[in-house]
Parts: sequence; structure tokens; C-alpha cells
Amino acid sequence: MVFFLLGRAAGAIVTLFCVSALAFFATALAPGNPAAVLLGNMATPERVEAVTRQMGLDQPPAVRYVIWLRETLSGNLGTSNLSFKPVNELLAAALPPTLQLALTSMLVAVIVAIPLGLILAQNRDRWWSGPTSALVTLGISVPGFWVGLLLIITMSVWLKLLPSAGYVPLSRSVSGNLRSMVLPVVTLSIYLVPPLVRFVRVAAIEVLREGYVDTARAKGVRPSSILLRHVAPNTLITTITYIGLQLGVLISGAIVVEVIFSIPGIGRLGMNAVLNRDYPVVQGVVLVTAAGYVLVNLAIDIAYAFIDPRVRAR
Amino acid sequence: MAERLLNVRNLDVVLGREPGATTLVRDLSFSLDAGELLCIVGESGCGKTITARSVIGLNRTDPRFRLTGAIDFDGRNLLDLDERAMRQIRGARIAMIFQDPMSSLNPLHRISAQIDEALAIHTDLGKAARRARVLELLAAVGIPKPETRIDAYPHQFSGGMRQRAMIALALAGDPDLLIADEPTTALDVTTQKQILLLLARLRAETGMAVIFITHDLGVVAEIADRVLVMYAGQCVESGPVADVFRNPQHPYTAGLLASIPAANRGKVRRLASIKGAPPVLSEGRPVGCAFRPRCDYAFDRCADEPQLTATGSPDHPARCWLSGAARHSLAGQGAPA
Repeated sequence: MVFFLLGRAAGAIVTLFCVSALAFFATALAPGNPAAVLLGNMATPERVEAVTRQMGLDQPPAVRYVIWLRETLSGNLGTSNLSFKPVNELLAAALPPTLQLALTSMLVAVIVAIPLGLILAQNRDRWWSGPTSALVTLGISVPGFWVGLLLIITMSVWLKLLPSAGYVPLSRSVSGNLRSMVLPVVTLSIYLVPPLVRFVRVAAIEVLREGYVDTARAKGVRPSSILLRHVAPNTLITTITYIGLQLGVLISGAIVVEVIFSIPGIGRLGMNAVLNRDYPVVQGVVLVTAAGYVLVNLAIDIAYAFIDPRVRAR
Repeated sequence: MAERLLNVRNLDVVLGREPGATTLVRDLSFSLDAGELLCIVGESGCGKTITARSVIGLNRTDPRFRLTGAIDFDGRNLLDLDERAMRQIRGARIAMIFQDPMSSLNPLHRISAQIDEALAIHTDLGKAARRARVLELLAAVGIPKPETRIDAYPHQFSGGMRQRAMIALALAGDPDLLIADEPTTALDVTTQKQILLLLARLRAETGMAVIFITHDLGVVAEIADRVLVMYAGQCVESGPVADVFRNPQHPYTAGLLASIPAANRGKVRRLASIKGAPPVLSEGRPVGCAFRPRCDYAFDRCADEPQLTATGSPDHPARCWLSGAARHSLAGQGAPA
């Protein structure tokens, strides 16, 4: 099991290096000169060239990558071309809202979707199972941002129950923070729940056909215990993998939700940086996001070992 | 026929709804005394497993199945019991072991926990007492050094060991009836023999009745008191094992007997087999006798469905139109070459 985890950790480090290269070159090779964007339309060509040299943008990309990588590894992600603030600082400010949004949404999605999927699987022969599954499929097809806008109209504009935008840090006001997070979390969960329900349902139906479920029934175990003790843990093994893959959906969904609800998170930071060719910030955002993705998947590998003794034995 | 342990009467198991429903088990009746070992034999797909699952009630809550008739167990019709009452019988009074020991144990739970679960449901024992009982059970099924193996996971056991653990699990509730659905089919030959001997010994020790499902007539000869031969969801012949083996009354039984491989068989003769394959019941049941398309003895009358009727020897009915004299010639020779 130690070897298993070491192997996965080594893989994670390799992945991060590849991502760093991608993050750097994808931005460095993109058309458009950041110096020109920075100086605006009125700048003379001579001025643009001077600033380009000043920013080190006249060096070949490979050289720039090595410099960037060295700085990054020593913990310096550079300075924003736009606000001239350190990228580290910008990321540190943007991370808490995004983490809160993403983790809460994932938690809500898991709490809603796993029991729902299990119940749908166990009752797959009941009359209400088909319509409910169809509803879930419908949920997959509904765009999340549209749901977000509907929620703003009903909950904020008409009913005036919840704020429509903005983020209140937890340190300032707990109740204000929670109120500001309700609609974004609901919106982002709606991205995640339907596909997860469908996945859990299919996985659990598969597990229900296993011999050990028959064994449990032949033992006289109650259906609820069979679902909880035998079906759920075995379903979880495949579901956890799927949740890791869903992280991509979570991240892209978070960007949309942050923009809709004006949350000053990583997604919005990244989007503004892209629009303004603020390369250091874009690179920082991509790197942090990728690191989060890799770390969560590493955590999932560790979780396997907790659930499945066959993995522990490796 | 008062007070037999198990008395199945006119059991029909239908899969699906009309139209297109398939009768998987048809008008099946058999009974079992306490301590008796009944073998149900037949090819794959003839309804053996469905019958077993119906007795222990694994398919009763499945809305695709419809069960009619009666399954009297210890004086109560199991088909009339609600699921709650049935759960108290399952694992306690009727237990079951399955064909594939690789999949019949939960890979995520320790062996001890899986046996303990049955004990926790069906006994009043405390935690420590249950653990002691698990050790006893593992020792009883011949797991060496059970105290070192009790907390193993299924993947740490070989196939034979898993089947032993499965048997220990089945014995946890001290059942009156054990249903063994081809428990040795997935095992290698030497392990098969060990598991058979184990089951025979446990049956002698506990006095439980056993329904043993197999397609291996060699096994039947070794362990059975009585045999029930199934074909296309029906009983085609049943009786005491010696009687059925010596005087098969149905061409299907005779064909099965003739196709037992024997080490001492002459090299010249090819191993006999029954031509064709059993009918796929979902595609329609053959008119008349279901075995007619494969039967070498078929004649005009077989277009009508034969009933299970008494033959010369006691407690040995068969479902065949052949005359007594013609049936007599079935013995020993099996299907004609």
C-alpha cells in the first residue's frame, strides 16, 4: 500500500510539471502582446517595444519558461500586468471564496445524489423509478447558468429572500456569508447532482446483481441494511473515481457561477486575467486549479485504500 | 403426507407479464423430510436454481416473478408469509450457499463480520459470544487455524476456503434446511471432493436436510437420498437415488446417466450425449412432452403432454408415455447408440 501511494504521488508530481509547461506555453504562445494591451491604443511602437523588453517578453519562450519555473518553484508567481499586485496575493484572496463554493457544492451534491441514486437503484422496478430517472436526465440537459439566473429572479428579485450577488467573507459575518453562498451553492450543485445520481444508480444496479447481495438476503438481512452495509460501500468505489473526474465540471461550473453571482474567486480572477492578457495571473490560476485537481485525485486514491482491502494489499 | 419438513405443491414460477410471460417452473411438487438429502439434477436452464431461489424466497419480492402454488415449510406456506416473517426464516431455518464462492462473499467485509452479521440477526448472543461462535463455525468447516484467519478478507482466501467460509456462514443460524446451488461447480476437482465430504459430514452432525442442486450425476450417486430430475421447468422423474439410477423411468434421466464419464469405460465407445439442447422457455415451450424433440423414443402420443404418474416402484413417478416394458429397457443402456 505504501508503494501504491508513493507511485500515485510520483505520478501527481509528473502531472503537475506537465501542467506547468502547458500553462506557461499556452499563454506565452497565444497571439497578442501583453505590453501592447497594457499600454493601450495610444502607445507608440517604440514605447511598446521598450516595455516588451522591460517585461522580458523579447526572450525566447523556452528561456522564459525556465526563468518562470525557477521563480514558481521558489514560491514567486510573478506580478499582475494589470494591477501590479503579486499574483500570490491575488490568488490568496481569491482562493477562500472558491474553495468554500466548490467544496460546499460538492458536499451538497454528494449528500443529495448518492442516497437518491441508491434509492432509485433499489426501487428500479417501481412505477415511480422511471419518471424520476427521466427527470434526472432532464436535469443533466438544463444549463446551470440558466438555473442560476432563474434563482436570482425568483429568490432575490421577486421574493427578496437572498442576495443576488457578492461575497461576504466568513470572518466578517457568518450569517452574511451563509446567505451569500446559498444561491451560488445551489446553482453549482445543480451542475453536479444529475450526472452523479445517474452514475450512482447505474453503479448500484450493477452491485445489486452481485452474488454477495444474494448472500446477504439469504442471511435474512433487512433491505435497508443491505443497501447501507453491502451495496453502498461497493458502489462508492466506482463513484469516488467518478467524483474525481467530475472535478473538471466543478471547476468550469465554478467559473460560471462566480461570474453570475459576482463572487471574487479564482474563476472570476482567471476570466478577467484572460480577457486582459494578464499572463502571470492566468498561469497562476491554471497552476493552482490543476494542483487542486491533482491533489483531490491523490486524496481519492488514498480513500480507495480505506474502502477497499484489495487495494490496501497492494 | 403430514409433517414433512418441506412440501412444495404445484409450484409455478412465471417470469414477466402476459403476454410474453415465461413459465420457468411448472407444476412442480416435491417434499423433503428432516435430515434428508435431495438432489435436483438437470441441464443448465431447466429451472433448478429458480426452484431453489423460490424456496428461500430470493425472488419473491422481484416484481418480474410471479409465484403460485404452495411451499409448506414446517407447516407454514412460505408464499403466504410477509417479507418480514420470511426474513426470520432466511438464514435461520433455511440457509443457502451459492455456485461461485468468488462473488458470494462481500469483498469489503472481513469473513468474521460477514458471519457475525447472520449471528447478530438470528441469535441473542453478545459480541464476544458471537466471535467465539464464528471461530467454532470456521473450525467446523475445516478452516485451519481459524483464530488466525477469522479477520481475513475474502480475497485472502482460495476458492475452496471461500466456499468453506460460505458454508460456515450458512450454518450460523443452525438451519433445518440447507440449499446448496451447485456449490462445487466453480471449484477444482480435489476441492470439490473435500467440499462434498464436508457437507456430508455436517449434515450427519447437524441433522439438517439438504437440497443439493447439481448437474453432476456422479455427485448425486455419492451423496443423495433421493433425486428429482428437472427438464424445462418440470419434474420428469423423481425417486430414491438407487432406484432412479438402476431403473430410470424417463429417457432424459437415462440419457443423463449414460453421459456420465467413467474412467473404466472402454476406449472404443464414444461418451454418449443427449442430442440437441434444452428448450429456451422464453421462446416457447415445445407442444406435448417438452423432451420430445430430443427423445429417441418419441412416438405419436408424445404430442400430448404427459402427466407425472406412478411407475412400478414406490415413490418413483415419471412423466413419460412409454409403456412399462419399454421403460424397463431404458435401464443400463441409456440412449440407444
